[in-house]
Amino acid sequence: MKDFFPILKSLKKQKIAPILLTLQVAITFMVLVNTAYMIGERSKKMQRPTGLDEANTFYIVTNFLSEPHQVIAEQNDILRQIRGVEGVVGATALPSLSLVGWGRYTDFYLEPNGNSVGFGGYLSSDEHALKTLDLEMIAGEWFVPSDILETDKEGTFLPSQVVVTQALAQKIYPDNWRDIVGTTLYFNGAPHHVKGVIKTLQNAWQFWSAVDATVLAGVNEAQPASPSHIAVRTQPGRLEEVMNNTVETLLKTPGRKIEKMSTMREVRQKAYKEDLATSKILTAIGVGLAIITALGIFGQARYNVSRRTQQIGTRRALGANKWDIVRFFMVENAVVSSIGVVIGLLGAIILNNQFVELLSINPVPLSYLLAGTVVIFILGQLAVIYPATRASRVSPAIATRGA
Amino acid sequence: MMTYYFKLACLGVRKTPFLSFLIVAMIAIGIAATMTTYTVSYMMSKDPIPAKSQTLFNVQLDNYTKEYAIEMGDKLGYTITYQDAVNLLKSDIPVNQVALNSSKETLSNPLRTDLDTLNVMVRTTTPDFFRLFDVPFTYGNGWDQQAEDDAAQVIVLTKKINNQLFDGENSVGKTVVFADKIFTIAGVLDHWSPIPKFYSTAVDTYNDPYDVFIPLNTQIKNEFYSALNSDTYCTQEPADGSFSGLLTSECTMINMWVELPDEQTKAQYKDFLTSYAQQQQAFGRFENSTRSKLLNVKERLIDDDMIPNEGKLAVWLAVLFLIVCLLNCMSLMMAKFFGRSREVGLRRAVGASKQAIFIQFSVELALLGALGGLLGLALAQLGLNILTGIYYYMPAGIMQMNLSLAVTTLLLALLCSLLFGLFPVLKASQTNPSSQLKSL
Repeated sequence: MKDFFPILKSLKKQKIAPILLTLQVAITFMVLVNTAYMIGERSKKMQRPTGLDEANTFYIVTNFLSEPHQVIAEQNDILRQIRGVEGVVGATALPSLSLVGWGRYTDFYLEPNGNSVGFGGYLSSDEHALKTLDLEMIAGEWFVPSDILETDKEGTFLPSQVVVTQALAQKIYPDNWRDIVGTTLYFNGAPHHVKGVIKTLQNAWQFWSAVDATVLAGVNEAQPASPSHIAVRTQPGRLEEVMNNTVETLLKTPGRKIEKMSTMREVRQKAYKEDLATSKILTAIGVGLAIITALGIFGQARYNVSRRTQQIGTRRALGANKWDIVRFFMVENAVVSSIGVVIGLLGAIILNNQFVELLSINPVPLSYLLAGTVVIFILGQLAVIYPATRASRVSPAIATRGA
Repeated sequence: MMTYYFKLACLGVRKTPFLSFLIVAMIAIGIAATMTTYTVSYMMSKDPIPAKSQTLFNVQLDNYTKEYAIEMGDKLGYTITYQDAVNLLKSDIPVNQVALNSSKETLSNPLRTDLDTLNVMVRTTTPDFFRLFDVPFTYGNGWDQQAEDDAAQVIVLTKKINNQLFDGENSVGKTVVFADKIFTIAGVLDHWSPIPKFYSTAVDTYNDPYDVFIPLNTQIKNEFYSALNSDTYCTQEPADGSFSGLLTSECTMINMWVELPDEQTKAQYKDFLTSYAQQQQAFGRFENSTRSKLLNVKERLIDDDMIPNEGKLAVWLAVLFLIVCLLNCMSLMMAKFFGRSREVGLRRAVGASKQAIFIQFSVELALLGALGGLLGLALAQLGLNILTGIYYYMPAGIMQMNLSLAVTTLLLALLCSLLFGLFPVLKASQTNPSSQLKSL
């Protein structure tokens, strides 16, 4: 610590150069902390599970050929055909599916005319969904075949048996989510009996705060104007083969069209494409900035070393060893970094407040600020090591040569 | 005199090649980062139809249930019901007016059995579409009101589809098989892709226009419909699941645009909407209110959050990046000019004024700034190429600089280098001749 006051003195004497470096460190700190936080939040968001066996699941949407009142029979026939394909673990029809960006949502009520207790996505399916969507029952019971209603209209309006996700149960019964089993939920003007709770099943919108709050109704629905998404789960590793065979099987029916088909991997990629792109750009800006600042610190230190050769020589001649010289530069950098980080902290908080308003994200937590401080210090010390060791090699004899 | 300073500047750059190179590189990198992100943000949010952005309006009505209205607050839906669209189209106040819906169908050229049948996205609309949105044609035209009223089987192809099915030849008057029916080609569009695609939905903002266009009545008559591709929204259950049930329901599915050239016609049309809503309320519809809204292009883009904030965020960060580069530059300039203090001392001693030194170094700075700008422009092109890969799902047109952006890049580089170089240059020109001469 004995170097501390000489360092302050020399910084004060140079004035401009240390101020510029401090500002650089401050800005780098605040940008790094904010970008790191935003990247962290995005990757957390992207890693949430849908609940499905994504690697081995795809969905398919076909057209309907029959009269409106017969489409339910036609859909059941399509399902039977798909379930017959070699390698299919399960197939089930739903109005939409996790992350597809298109679907239904609803408000939930505990009494017919009470206040809303929460909102979430609506899916409906038959008893095959348990296996097909890889659902995990964590309370209550799964549908039995006699629970399943059939309709050619929007099933949301029918009184039905439902299971809910744990996230939805927790929202409605924060104290003990298991209490939801056996109760009646009202939505879309109809009472729905809650049979059980499933662990995870995301609904259609990845950007929605209620993406994990899903109700799955025991309704096999086939609407003439909007054919269902048929989810198909295959045996591990047989996805591509089963997809090809499914299309081949279905197209044997004259007039049958495949409106849409996509693997769950593709669905996920599409849903999060913007987040992924933004993360890449944020990473580029953060890394670029760190490199530029490190270069700045490096350049500044080298410039200082060459300017202070005489001084260093004198110190060496007066008995300072090599380590003393290296230490001087490292402590000097640490002082500059500290001031920079303090200013940067203020800046980061102000900048983050701007972003919070602009992008409705949460404020940066303390852990990121601490990590940022450590990174800036390490970055500064690494950048200064080479010029400092060069300085330590200055021969004491140089002090004796005239200026 | 200026040529002399320019010569000195070149000499100065050559004397400290490494520092000069670093300064140029710093300016270039900072400028490139800023201009790359700014270009994307600018192109994402630019005015898609400058000539008409103030006179085109999206029509919104309030057919919410009372319950749903509480949830939506001030916001109205950007689509209206089919029955409302049919009624509103009867007005003769707007210069042009269109109703939009969409579908997905198959399309093939019956004379070319070697080509696959295409699955095409279909924009179903009314005849004014092409006039209202200033859509350019290569061959032929749109369809007229008569064809619309008759639900004629006519079709307009985009350039892309015409290239695929007819090798880009004039196909007007030829027939295609559209959804297993025979359709006659009325026209072929020239390249047309407004960015952002303001007239559609938020999820569609940066996609190309749909592949083909057919009359709305033809869609209705033939029941070309799939809920997946039609952007239908129901707050109340339709009476029955059939297509005709959907058309008479409160489900909104038509995106309607009107062209109102001045304030007077706009006020007139607004009155028309209000009295229409009141009349419908008297029939027992519009239980929540008789509100209506006319949103111009910009308001529509904002109202539906059609333009992502990500672009703006990246610009913010890139500007900070530029500032760090320039601060770095400033340190480098200090070092550069400090190293030249002997030269300054000598020049001062033989009679050069402080101003002369100041101008000399400023010219050198401008030279560095200009070099930085040029290199920055090249790097920005590289950056935009990389962004084209990252934003693979956006049209490539967004990742392109126009002339004014390129000029901005150069000027910004020059301005930044002069602004941040001002202090180092001032300091250098203040050098005391005697102190420097002593050490010679």
